Amino acid sequence: MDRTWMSRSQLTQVKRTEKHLLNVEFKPIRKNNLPRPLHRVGGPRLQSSKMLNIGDNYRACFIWKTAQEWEGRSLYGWLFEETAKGLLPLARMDYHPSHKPLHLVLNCESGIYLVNRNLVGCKEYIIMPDSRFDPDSSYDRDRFINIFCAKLNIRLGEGELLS
Amino acid sequence: MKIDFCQQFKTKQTDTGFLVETPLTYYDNDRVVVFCRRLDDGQYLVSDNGDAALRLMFDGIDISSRRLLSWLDEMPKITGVSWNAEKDELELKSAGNEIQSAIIAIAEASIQMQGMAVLRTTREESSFRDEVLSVLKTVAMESGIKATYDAPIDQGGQFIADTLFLAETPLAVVIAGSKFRLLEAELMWTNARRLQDPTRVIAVVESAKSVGIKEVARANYFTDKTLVFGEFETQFQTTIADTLVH
Repeated sequence: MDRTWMSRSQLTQVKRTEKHLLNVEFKPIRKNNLPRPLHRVGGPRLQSSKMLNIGDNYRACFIWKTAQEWEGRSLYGWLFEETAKGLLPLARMDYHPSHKPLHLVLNCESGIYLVNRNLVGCKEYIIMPDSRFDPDSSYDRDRFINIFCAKLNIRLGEGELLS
Repeated sequence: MKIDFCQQFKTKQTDTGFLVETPLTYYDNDRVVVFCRRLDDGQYLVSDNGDAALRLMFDGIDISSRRLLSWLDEMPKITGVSWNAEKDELELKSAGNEIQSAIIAIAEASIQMQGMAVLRTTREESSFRDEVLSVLKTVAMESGIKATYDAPIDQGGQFIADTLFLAETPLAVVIAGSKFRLLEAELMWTNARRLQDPTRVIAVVESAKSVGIKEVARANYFTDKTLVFGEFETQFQTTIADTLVH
């Protein structure tokens, strides 16, 4: 039986596993640009990276949503594991300043079948209560990606994106 | 007892008007936030900022699917909330004195739209395979015939059976969750006949409708049997068990 959600120790093991992200480039996204479960993501306000292979069966993807006002903008960073049945979301780091600071949603002990799904009914941790980013700023998107990689033990490029 | 619900709604000024953080939550634990953008005519455009649609997209739901669009089409007549297909937002134009009702209507529509996540099909497809495998494991245990899973049935390893019963005459079972997989079962059977391999091939579909009625009818000529699992789980188990001993 495939693993469909994670225990704490499994998630710790995921974090320990070496992962490597080379480069992230945001581009306008249309439906079917990304694999399941993000294959329906698209729209004029959205841009995303590709589904990036970061080693072994791990994949990462970043989504940026713009809006007229800062509070309506958002950033999402996904970590997936490829399984026989599809992509299992392991973590999603969110920044949407309308009502929450930077936080991480983890696929941990949810008891819900989450292959090819959003992270619903999962545990959530505020990781930087005083953080402030502007998703429309490329500098802040790079900061977001750096933090995502630091939190999930992903080595970035040759050095850091911002170096 | 006097309960103050108002403190659960937080209002914040923005460059374009204001937003309201409601106590309602999406399935991923984020709050339903309603944006109120000031228009030139003094009214407000109240919207969900596309948050409900984005959550459906994250769950693999096509927001332009016929069923979802027909529901969205009815919304203005029922609640006054419209669907802005350009922006993928739920919205409602409102004068200042009616804005509370508009905010509640948008929040309500956002929560209802999230419920459209039931249109997902992935879980059903996955449980079908698991349920069939569970029955096949029971057959293997009860018959004492060894079975292997995800097993190649040709020398080149091009054809993989979901279950291969190592009976006197081997029996390969293919769980056909799609037309493509059903076609693979037919190729397996044809290839086995070509090589004069005695392995029998049985395909199982969830329902004739799920892969196509014509396809199932055709598959019965190019497999030893094509069975419908659906509501015939017990019959399926008996058929497999009988096939193994005959």
